[in-house]
Amino acid sequence: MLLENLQSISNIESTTISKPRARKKFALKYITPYFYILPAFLSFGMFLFFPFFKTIALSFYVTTNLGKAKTFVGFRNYIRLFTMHNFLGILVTTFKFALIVIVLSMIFGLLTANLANTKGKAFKPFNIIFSMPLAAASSGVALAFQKMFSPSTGIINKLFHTNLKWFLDPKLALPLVAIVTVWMMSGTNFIFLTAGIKNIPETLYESAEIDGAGGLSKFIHITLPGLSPILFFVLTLNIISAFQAFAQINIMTEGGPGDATNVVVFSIYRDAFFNFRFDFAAAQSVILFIIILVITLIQFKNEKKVVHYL
Amino acid sequence: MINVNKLTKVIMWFITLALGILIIFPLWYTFVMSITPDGTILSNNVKIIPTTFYTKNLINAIKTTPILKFMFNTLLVSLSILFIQIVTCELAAFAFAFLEFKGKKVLFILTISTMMVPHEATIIANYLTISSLHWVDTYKALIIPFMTSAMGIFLIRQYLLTIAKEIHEAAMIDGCGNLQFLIKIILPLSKPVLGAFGICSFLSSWNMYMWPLLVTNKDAIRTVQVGITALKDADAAQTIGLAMAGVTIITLPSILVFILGHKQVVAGITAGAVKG
Repeated sequence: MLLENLQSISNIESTTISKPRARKKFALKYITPYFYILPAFLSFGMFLFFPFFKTIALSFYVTTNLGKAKTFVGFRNYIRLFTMHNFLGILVTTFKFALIVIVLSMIFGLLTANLANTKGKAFKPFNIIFSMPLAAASSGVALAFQKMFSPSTGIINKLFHTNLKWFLDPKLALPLVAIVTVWMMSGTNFIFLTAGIKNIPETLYESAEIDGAGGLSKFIHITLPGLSPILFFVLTLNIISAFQAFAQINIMTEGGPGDATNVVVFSIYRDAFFNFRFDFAAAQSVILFIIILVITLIQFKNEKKVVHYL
Repeated sequence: MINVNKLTKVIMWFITLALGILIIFPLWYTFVMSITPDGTILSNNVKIIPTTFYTKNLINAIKTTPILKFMFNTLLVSLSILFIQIVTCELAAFAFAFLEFKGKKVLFILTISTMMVPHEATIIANYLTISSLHWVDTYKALIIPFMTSAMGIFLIRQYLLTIAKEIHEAAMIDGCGNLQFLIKIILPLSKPVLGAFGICSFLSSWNMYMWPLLVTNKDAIRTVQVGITALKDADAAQTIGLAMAGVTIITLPSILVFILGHKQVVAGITAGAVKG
């Protein structure tokens, strides 16, 4: 989607014919435009470009407890991540987590957006209900979930007369954190998908009805293809947010039990701020960046194949 | 929108209701716990509908925890970020939409590509910068790193491109300077996109968690999202009501604002994404 926008932007620019202008008298005229972008670029420079390259640099050094580069070690940090640090396990956990989140949140998003947009007054209130997690999703709610699933005092065990350990169970913790993440992201997904559904021309459905198409067939042949651009956008958004998950994990499980919910961002946090291994943290940050970059590029490449613009 | 027969519609409504309960239940139960005495919460007798309105948890949360201070801090930080971002984004977007200069295309693509760098990938180096400036535990640390937004520049520029270039040319001929043109003509015209972007910006700063966690240690400077988790306290059974009261206090305002401004929020969130 972004790439498509970029292309259309550059098309606009190349087709705008700049009128011949009188020769500018002052060099100042050439410089002033840069003053307008200066504040933004100062900020990008200091808090984005600089830390980005500094992170890459730090990942090739051994650092002090205060994060100062000490000795250059080449790729040793990266190698040690895998040999001594069980980083492979962390990556596997991260991908598992992302997979559960993405699959469930796409299904849930499609289901809720289509249901809430069914014709009829009785469905209207659900538009607000399904988008509500957008306003509520925060660490406060993660705290509430943690209390609800508490084995001894939480409502869930009492309500269903179960005796499960939930966040304290190494097998249940990851899926459960993923489900809470789906809940937290569902509001945004719902809003995007609803906007996508409203964008599908009503006439398509009407002509399909004349041809005798049923509800399901209309969903498969009109809604899904019509929704594909926005579905694609939501998918990208969800993958990226799944890989960036941190708050809910830090609040509900702190990476545990054991390493059961130790995903990349949490591992970066723990290495930098508990173990003071800024070098390992930097190397993991670089890997996180590469993963997200690769996923984004794959998506852009495949966008044309799966997306139908109306 | 799909038209279906009555019976299917009834079944669909009940499925919708079930999914709706899934979404609402955690919020509803948090609220119920906040107005229930701890003794009742801990008993095995599950109550989902409150029988009494017990206010002690809420009062305690306000009196014994710095929750109001947290909310003030967050409001201050979010509004400052919003104001600064609008200034920097509007300026840059104006230059990208109306002015001609060398390297414009490259700089714009550079701006867009910053959106691909996840915040978490630069957070370590940013923390080191902030701590070497001795900015830890200051409002500066919470505001300055978010002075601009690539998304904001992109959204505003897209909007400004829809304004006819002739207006700019006419204003220049009449002797109006660029800055004057920006403030007097463009700024009022870009109100809709600023509203949409402003809501996104505010929501994202209000919900910020990882960065404030790193750069604040004192209650006096903490934001709500980090501060509220201080009420977590392991599994201390007698603090459940208090913690839930805290969550209710910080969540209720944003939910109310959301319900009242639902249309604007939706417009803001979808401004950049929906084609056409």
